[in-house]
Amino acid sequence: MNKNFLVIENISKSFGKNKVLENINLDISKSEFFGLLGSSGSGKTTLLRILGGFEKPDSGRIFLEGVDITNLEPFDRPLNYMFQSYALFPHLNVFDNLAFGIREKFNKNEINSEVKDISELLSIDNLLNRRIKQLSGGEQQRVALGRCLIKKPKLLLLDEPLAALDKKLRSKTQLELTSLQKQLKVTFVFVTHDQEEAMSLSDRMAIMREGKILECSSPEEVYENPKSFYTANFIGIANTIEVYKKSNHYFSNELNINLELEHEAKKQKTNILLRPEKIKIKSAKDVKINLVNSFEGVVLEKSYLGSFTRYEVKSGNKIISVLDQNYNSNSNYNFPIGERVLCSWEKESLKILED
Amino acid sequence: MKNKLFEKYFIFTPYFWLVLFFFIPLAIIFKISISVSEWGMPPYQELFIFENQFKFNATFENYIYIFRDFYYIGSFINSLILALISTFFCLLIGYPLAFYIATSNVRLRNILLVLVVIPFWSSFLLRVYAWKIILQNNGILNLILLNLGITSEPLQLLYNQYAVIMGIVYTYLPLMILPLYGYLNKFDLNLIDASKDLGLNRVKTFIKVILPLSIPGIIAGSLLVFIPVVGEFIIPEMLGGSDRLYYGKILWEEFFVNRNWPGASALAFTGIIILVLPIVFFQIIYSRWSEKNEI
Amino acid sequence: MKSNIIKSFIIFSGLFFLYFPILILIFYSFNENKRVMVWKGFSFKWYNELFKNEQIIEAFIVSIKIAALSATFSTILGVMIGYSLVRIRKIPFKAFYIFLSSTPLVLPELILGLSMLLFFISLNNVIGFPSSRGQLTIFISHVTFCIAFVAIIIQARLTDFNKNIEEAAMDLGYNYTKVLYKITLPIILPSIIAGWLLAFTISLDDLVVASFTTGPGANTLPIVVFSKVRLGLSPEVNALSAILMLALLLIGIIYFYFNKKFKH
Repeated sequence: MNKNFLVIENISKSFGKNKVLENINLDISKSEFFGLLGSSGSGKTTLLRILGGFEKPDSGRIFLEGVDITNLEPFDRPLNYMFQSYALFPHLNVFDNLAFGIREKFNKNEINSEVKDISELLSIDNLLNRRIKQLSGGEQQRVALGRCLIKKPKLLLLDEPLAALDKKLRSKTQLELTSLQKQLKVTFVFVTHDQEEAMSLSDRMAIMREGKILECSSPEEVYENPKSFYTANFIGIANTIEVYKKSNHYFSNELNINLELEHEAKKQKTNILLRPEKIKIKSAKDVKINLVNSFEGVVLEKSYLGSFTRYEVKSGNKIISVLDQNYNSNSNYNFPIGERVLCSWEKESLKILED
Repeated sequence: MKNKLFEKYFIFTPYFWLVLFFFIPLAIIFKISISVSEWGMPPYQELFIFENQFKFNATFENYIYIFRDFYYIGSFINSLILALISTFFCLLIGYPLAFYIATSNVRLRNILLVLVVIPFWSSFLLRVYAWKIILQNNGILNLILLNLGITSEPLQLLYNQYAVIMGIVYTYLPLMILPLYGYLNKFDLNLIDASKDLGLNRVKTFIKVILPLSIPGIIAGSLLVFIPVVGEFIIPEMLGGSDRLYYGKILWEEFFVNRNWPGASALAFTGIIILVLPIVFFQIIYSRWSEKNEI
Repeated sequence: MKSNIIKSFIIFSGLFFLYFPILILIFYSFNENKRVMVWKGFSFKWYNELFKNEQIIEAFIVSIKIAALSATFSTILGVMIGYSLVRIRKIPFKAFYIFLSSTPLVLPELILGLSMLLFFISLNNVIGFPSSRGQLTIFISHVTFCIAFVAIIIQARLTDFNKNIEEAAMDLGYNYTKVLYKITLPIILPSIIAGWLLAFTISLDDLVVASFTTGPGANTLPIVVFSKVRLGLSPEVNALSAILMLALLLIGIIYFYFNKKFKH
């Protein structure tokens, strides 16, 4: 991949006394679909607005293909921004909204053909004469997207691109957006608070919290090998267990068991992550061997989710979540509340959380 | 920043106009109000005099004069009482109207709202004049009263303080209804049902739920009526008699009849201090506050 | 059921109270008798007289002229203020700016009129202008107190239209000036028209400020009407009322159309 396409260097920004961004550094590749994930107040939208040119950073620089764009006005930047509210022009129809950004560059025929191309690509060619008020949420989203893409930007910034859609439409649009991006090979940087959305759309993603980037890598890496306690809990369901180093093994006070890790922990006391789907659950009646990397507990809660059953298993004062795949309709795998069960896992499934 | 030059024009063109034609005139009122009055043209002495040496020729005589004479203070008090009574009646009539308009269905609501506000667009002077016709000795109201046998001879309805109140309530009613409607319209009608569901009866629901939530509207509407009524000149002039003198009339006469410019200015400036400044001050603080809370 | 009856009754009597005097006025304008209150028969006589009355016709023309001009000026200035207050962050002495642009809303007309008159007299003493008062001084005074009304309408409109729309236009390559002309002003156009109409009727309707700042050759319609009806009744004014009421009602309806338009 061609790195150094979009380079963000030491960006900081405050509103009054409120530090919104602190020393942000990112390096985004050409044609990458890059996600900025964080809860509200994490600074993700401010960062995107700085990229769009609507806010000026207090310090730091932004380079796009090696060109410093930090001080360029929004209208001088070779990139486009799709707003969460879509910000379609209410006094113009769909055609004029789409053509808005190319009016000065092209003549009438060229404009017509450009609008035709983009509207066919997004299948909104039957809506061109509609007023904005007459469009559904999904249609508005396409017009907003088309209005940006018609300018053939090097970089498209998307602020919560799917947040305003209802749930069913959202998953359909997610797939469309991904295939569109792969087809056009435009670099997309988007902001979301929805971890599932971030995981399914991004090639790489950055997790933001309180104006800082906690980590930045592929969705698989972030899910499987998170570096921090915060990320582990923010993405998916996480069991975190506090362990202590003891000569050649580790010990958990909470579960009162010994654990074996794949890698050596740096600290004496550390948090480890155990994803619920990595745990095997069996009836404690059948087997009664106390190995490392397993514990015996009582089923406290159970919810049947179709493809999975989720159990909350209690041992001592610790509650561990377990996701058990229902690959067999046999009720052997179905443990009632109150049942004693044995939970076990591979040592590769235990991940050390450094922060 | 480039291309933002128009912002300068946008700020400073009206700034210039308002300083020149609004702020300086107010300053001149203040200046004349502390000038020594005398017979002549203009009927006051200059504030700054250079006779060998600089002399600052200011006086508070005009204010003292106003506050000593019950003729002036009395008219001020009359105006305040008039404004208070009129505001009360506007609220009394306007509140139920605003409430029922706000609780109507959307279509009816918009039509009713337009119907309420339209009279406000028609000429103020002529609407007052209409009451002059209605309240005549041989006017329609007396005709009705005579025919119903309530009275045996025409009543003197015109040229007294009651006619003035009538005229004011009539002309200022839309100013009360609009802000009331604005606030009543905003609140969730489910609150009324929720309150009833929780066991409060109609009256208690009104007192405990509806009324507290409409207080901002009541305040806004009352201020919109109260303030201009204190300075009202036309309505007492057209419908009022000599039974009560009001601030507006006194100010007018002090200037045009008595030709006492410093006195009239002092009256005007007192009006500004008492009526206008508290509200403007409040508004500036409010807008600062809401700006801060936006970020 | 019972509450519905109360509701209808209150709304009906409220509307009756608001419209009854206007209807009475229109009704009596068709009275043939010179004594306004004694009904003699239906006639258009006073409408005829009205159109022959040069004083009223002339005053009407003066009023329309002043109202149109001052509405135009105050709309331009009011739009500038509304825009500045909502969209421009750095305004020098902002509190003073707000004070200047909102005080005319709450200042009694009488005080405003007095201050304008004293201002024009003082100005004349200092620079010899305006040597006499008339249409120009009324125009200046009307612009001054109409600005605030326009500004408040524009301010409200700009506050509830999303700034993202302007940012989107900038993102699509339009600079600040172009965004203003292609996006901001077209979108708030209905409110600008509504503001103009409001300023126009306020100016047309004003008696107090005009009385202070008028001079030779500048009798506006309200001044003439007031002089006719201050002490009694006038059948010609009845006819004028009927016409004016209908004309102003029409403007009111147009105003509503434009002011509501953006709220869909």
